[in-house]
Order: sequence, then structure tokens, then C-alpha cells
Amino acid sequence: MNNFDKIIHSTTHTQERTYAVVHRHWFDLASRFVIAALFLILITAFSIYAARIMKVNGTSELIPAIYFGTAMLYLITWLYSFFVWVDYFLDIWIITSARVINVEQKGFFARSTSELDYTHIQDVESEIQGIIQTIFNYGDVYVQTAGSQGKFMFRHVGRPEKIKTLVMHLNRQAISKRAHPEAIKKEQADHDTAHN
Amino acid sequence: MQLIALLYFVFLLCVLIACIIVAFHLQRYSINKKIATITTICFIIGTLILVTITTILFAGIPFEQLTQYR
Repeated sequence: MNNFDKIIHSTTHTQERTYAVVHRHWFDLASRFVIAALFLILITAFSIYAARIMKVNGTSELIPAIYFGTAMLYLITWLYSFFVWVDYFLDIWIITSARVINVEQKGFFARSTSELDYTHIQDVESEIQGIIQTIFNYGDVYVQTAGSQGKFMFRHVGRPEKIKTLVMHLNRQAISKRAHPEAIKKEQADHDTAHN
Repeated sequence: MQLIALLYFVFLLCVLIACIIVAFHLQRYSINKKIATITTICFIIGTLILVTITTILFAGIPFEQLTQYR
């Protein structure tokens, strides 16, 4: 059983179908990689400049130390890039026919998994803020829930309108199923027939 | 010289620990095994190359000459 199955089948939801597995928008990741790349360009330029200055001043013995320092900063930036990647890659929202699951990686030593039943949803709101989010069509989706659960948030996800529509559609479906339990029984029977 | 070598060894140890943490998280928690495996392989290869380069450069530092600048 892979990790996806472990998350999906952690509770006993019969006939659960997965509609979407959502990561944060790629721009969120790219912007942090661009910062790392700029840092690398800056330290490379600095080390080249420092080496030239040292040659001119007759202190070329120091050049290997400068190159070593640069290589160390490359290694640190490389590790940072992968920390960023892991944080991005392990943050997911899974929208299934029965619930929304949020798996959030908070640094390396904290990880939370929460899930939301559609019948608890009161309101769904999508928000795109600023010029960058408008150009790349990404933003936040807030799901307001009843009771103490508060807000459930999809942070920096692509096509938030589409996610909002999907969640609202599944919410309406869940409410309608609760109002008409015979429909669930019929669906269960259809499912059993299809699998026998 | 010995102190700097010790500090470099501690740095390499930290890199090794960071590598283990990243690889562990990718393999343990990823829902897409294929991407996780490719990423882990890239990460390990890249880290090994950079560690090798850093070690070669460290070995090439003329510490005896540098101490003259004190």
C-alpha cells in the first residue's frame, strides 16, 4: 500500500472516489527557487571579483579559500532548495467524493493531516490577490465550516475558482444524499452490482 | 588547521544529517513514489558532487601560507 492509499483509506469511507490532488501553485515554488538562483549568481560574481582583486594585490594564496567558501555556499543553497521542494511536494489537498483531506508539512519535524466532511461546510470562498496571482491564476480557497472546526484553507493553489466550484458541488451532493438516504443505498447497490 | 578541519567535518556531518532527513521525508511521506524516487536520486547525486568538490577545494587550501597573514 503506497502513501496515497494510506491517506485515503485511513478511515472507512466506502466508494470513495478521488477527484483532485492539489499542490500549491508552481509559481510559489519557482519564486523561492529564483531567490536561491539569484543568491548563487551573486556569490559567484563576488568570488570571481574577489579572486581578481587578490591576483592584482598579490595575495593569490587566498583564492582557494574563496573558492572553497563559494562551494560551501553552493552546497548550502542546494540543500535549501531541496528543503523548499520537500515543503512544496508534501503539502497536498486531496478532494474526494466524501471529504477534503489536507496534508501539511510544517518544517521537517511537524506534519498535520486534517479532513473535512462536506456536510460540515457552510461557505466556500476563493480569493486571488495581487498582479502575480491574477496573471498566473492562483490564490487561496477558504472553506468555512460549522462548529469549532473553523476555516479550512487551500493556500496558493492553482485555479481556485475551479476548486471552489468542485467543493461546492460535492457539498451540495453530500447534503442531498443526507436528505435522501435511499439514494445512498441505491448507489451502494449499483456499486456492489458493478463489482460482483 | 586542526580546528578548521574539525569544523569542516562538523559541517559535512550536518550535510549528511540534512540529506538523510530530506531523503527520508521524500520516501516516507510522498504520495507519488516515482517523482519522490527521481527527486531523491537527483538530490543524492547533486549532494555527492558538491561535497566532493568542496572537499577537493578544502584540501587545496594552503593553510600554512594563510597563517602568515595573521
